[in-house]
Amino acid sequence: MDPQWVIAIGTSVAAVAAGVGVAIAWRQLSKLNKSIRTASLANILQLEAEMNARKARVNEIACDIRRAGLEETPNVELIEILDDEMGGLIENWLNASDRLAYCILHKYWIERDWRAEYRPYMQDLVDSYPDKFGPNTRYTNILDLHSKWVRE
Amino acid sequence: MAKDKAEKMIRRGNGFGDVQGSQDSGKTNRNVEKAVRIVREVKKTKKD
Repeated sequence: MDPQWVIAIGTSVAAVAAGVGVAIAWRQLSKLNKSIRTASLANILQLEAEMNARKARVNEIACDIRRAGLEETPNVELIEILDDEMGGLIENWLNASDRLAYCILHKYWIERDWRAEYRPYMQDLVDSYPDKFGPNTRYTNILDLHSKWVRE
Repeated sequence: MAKDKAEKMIRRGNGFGDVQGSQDSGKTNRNVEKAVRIVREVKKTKKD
C-alpha cells in the first residue's frame, strides 16, 4: 500500500477518535453542569427554608410578647425574658439572611434571579432594625447588597 | 434594547413567583415593632 494512503487512513481514524472523544467530554461536561445547577438550587432552597424558619420563630416570639402585654397586669419579668429571647432570634434570622446576601454578592448565585424578590426584603431588614446596621454591624453582606441595589 | 431586556429579566426574577415567605417579612417586622413597643411600655411602667 502506498505510504500516503496509510498516513491518510491513520489521520482519518485519529480525527474520528478525536471527534468521539470531544462528544464524550461534551456529554460529561453537560451532565456535570446539570448536577452543579441542581446542587446550587438545592442549596438556595435550603437556605431560604432556614431563613423562613428563623423568621417564623421571630414572629412567634413577637406574638407571645404581644399576648403577654394584653394581660390585665402584664408579667414584666416574663416579658423581659421573651424580649431577650426575641433579640437572639432576630440575630439568628439576620445571620441566615447575611449568608444569602453573601452568596448573591460573591456571585455564587445569579444576582438578577434574586434581585426582584430580595430587594424589598433586604430593604425591610435594614429599615426595621437600624440598631443592627450601625457602623459596627456584623451583617456587612446585607448592608453591602442593600447599598448596591439602592445605587442601581 | 439591551437595557429593556435586562430590566425585563430583573422584573422576572427567579421564576418562582415569590421566594418562600419573603412576602410576609414586612408583617413579621411590624409584629416585632409592636412587641418592642409593649416591652418599652412595660419597662417604663416598672420604673415608675
